[in-house]
Amino acid sequence: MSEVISVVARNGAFQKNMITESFESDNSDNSDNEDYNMSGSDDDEEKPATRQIASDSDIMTPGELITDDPVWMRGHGTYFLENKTYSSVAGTVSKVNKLLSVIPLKSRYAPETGDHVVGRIAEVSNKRWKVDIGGKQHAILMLGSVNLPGGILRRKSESDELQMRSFLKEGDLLNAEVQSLFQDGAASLHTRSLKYGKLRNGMFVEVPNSLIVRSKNHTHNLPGNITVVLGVNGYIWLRMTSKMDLARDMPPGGSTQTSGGSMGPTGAVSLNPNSNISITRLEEESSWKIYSDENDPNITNAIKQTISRYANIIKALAFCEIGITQERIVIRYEASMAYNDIGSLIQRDNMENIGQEVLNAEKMRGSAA
Amino acid sequence: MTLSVAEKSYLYDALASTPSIRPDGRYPYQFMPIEIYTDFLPSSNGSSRIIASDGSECIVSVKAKVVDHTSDDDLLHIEIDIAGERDDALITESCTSLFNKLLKNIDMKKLQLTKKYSFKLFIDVLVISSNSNPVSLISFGIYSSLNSTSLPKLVSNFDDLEVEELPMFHDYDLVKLEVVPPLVFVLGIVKNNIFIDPAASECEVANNGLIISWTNGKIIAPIRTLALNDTNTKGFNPNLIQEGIKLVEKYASDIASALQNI
Repeated sequence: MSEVISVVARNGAFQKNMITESFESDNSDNSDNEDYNMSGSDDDEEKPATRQIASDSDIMTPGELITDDPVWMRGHGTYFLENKTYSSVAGTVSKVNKLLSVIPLKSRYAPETGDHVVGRIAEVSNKRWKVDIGGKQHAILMLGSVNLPGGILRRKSESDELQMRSFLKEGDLLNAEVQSLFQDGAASLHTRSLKYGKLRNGMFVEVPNSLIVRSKNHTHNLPGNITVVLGVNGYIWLRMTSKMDLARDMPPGGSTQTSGGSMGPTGAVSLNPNSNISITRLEEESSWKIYSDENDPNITNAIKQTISRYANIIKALAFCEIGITQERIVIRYEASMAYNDIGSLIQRDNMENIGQEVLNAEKMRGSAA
Repeated sequence: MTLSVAEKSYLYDALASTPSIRPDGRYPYQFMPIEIYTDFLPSSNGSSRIIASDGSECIVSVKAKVVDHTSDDDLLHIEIDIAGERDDALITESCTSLFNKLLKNIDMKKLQLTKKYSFKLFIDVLVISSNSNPVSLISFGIYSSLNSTSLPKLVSNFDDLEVEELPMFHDYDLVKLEVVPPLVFVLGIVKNNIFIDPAASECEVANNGLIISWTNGKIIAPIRTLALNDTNTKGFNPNLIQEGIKLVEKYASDIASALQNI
C-alpha cells in the first residue's frame, strides 16, 4: 500500500447479496405469518410466538414487530398499527412496568443532570448562550451560571449583559456540567467551578456519544503531558496538561504546589500562592484570563504531535465502535509507538488492528465486558 | 465549520511550524484514506462511489450514446450536482467549468466508432456530502468511473462513409474504455508550508489554496488559487506555487496507480 494514499476497493452491484438475502427472509416471514394467521383464526389463545414479547437483549430493527399484545403502553421508539406495536428505531427493548420503549443504539445525545459535557457556543442571546452539545436542542448557559471575571461570587450586572461576547462568543469551546433539564428536555449548563470554562491549548475530536461511558471523572491526565476531557456527549478535548490538571491528581493536603503563576486550565490564578490550588473553591480569583483566547506559548511541537497521536487513537477506537475510556487510550497510546509516523494511524487496516488489539488485550486480562 | 479563536491559533501554529504538524498527523503529501465502489450502478456503462475518511462522498455515473460526430463534436458532457447547493451556486458552476476544461485533455479518438459515428459520454457527478472543497474527490470519482467503463463492441465496418449503415454492436461483448482522465489536487497553504488534501479544519485556517491538475505524468492547465475560507485568506510567496507543482509531480503517479489497481 502506498504511503501517499490508502485506497480500499469495495465490490457491490448495489449490495446484491443483501437484497437476495432479505428477499429470502421476507419469504420465510410471509410463510410464518400465514401459518400464524391460520392458527390464529383457529384458536385465539394459542399463538405463543407473537404473544411473547421480544426479550431485553434482542436488537430490534425499524419496522420489526415487538408485540401484538395491546396491554403495553407505547413509549419512545415504537409505533402502533392495527393493534400491533412495532419498533421505529434500531435498538434494544426496554420495559418499565407496562411502558414499552426501544432505546436506540445510536442517537443524539440525551443530557442528564450532572453530565460533564464539552460544547460549542452557537448563539449569544438575551442573558444566555445557546450551546451546541450534539443533542436534540441547544443547551442553555445562563449568564448567571458562569464565573464572571474579577469576581469572588459577584452578582451579574447590566454591563456584563452588554459584553457577553467578550466572555464567550460564537464558535468558542467550553466544558460545563449539566445543571438541570428544562421541561422540553433541553439542558441548562453551568461552569461555576474552575475546572469548567473556556477550552484552550489543544484540539477537538468528535466521536459518537454512545461510546463515552458516564463515570465519576471525565478529565484524565495521560502520558506525554496531555490531558483529555471526555465529554459525555461525545465531544472530546485534548490539551496540554496545565498545572491545575496536575494539582487535581495530587492527594489532597499535599504541599507540593509551586508558588507563583499557578495557572489553571481555565486561566484562573490562585490568590494565595502558598496554599493548595483548589478547583472548587470560588474564592480563587477568576480574572479576565479565564476568558482569554490566547494559547500557552510553551506548547512544543512534540506536544502537538502527541496530541495528534491521541486524536488518531481516539478516532480509531471510535471507528471500531469500542467504548472510549482512559485505560484504553493509554494502552493504545503506548502500543501505537510501534507506528513511527502518526499519519499511518488513520489507515483503515491500522485502525482495525488497534481495535482488535484492544479487545484481545482485554480478553487476555479477563476484563472484557 | 466554526472553530474557536484558540483552536484556530493552535491549528495555525501547528501547520505553520517546520516540519508542519497536521491535526491528524498526515505527511504534507498524504491523502485521507478513501474507499471506492466501482461499477455498482447496473443501468450505466461505468460508475463509481467514492468515500473519504472524513465522510465526504461522491457518486459518478458514465452513460454513453452513439452520435454523429460530424455534426456534434462535443463528445463529453459533464454535469455536477452538489447536495445542498443550487445548480447556479458559485461552487457548482466553478466545478463544472473546471472539469469541462479539464476533460478536453482526454483523447477523443478513443471514443470514435466509425468514420461517422462516435460515442458521446455523459458523466453525471453527485456530491452527496463534502466537508471541504470537493474537486479532488470528484476527479478521483471520474477517474475510477471512466476506468471501469465498458462500452458495447462494434461488429460493423469501421468505414461507413461509402456504405450508409448504422453501427452494429455485439449482443453482449463489451470493450473496456481506455482513456486517461486528468486528476485534480487541492493544496492548502499555511504561512510557508504547503500540503495536499486539506481537511475541513485545515481549510478553516489556511492562508490560501491551490488547485493543480495533472494527467499522464505532467502538470496541465488550469492551475488556480482558491480561497479556502473567508477570514484567514492572505497572499503567499509565489515560490510556493512551484513547490506545490513539484509536490504534485512527485506523488500524483502514486495516486493514479492506487486508483487504477482497484
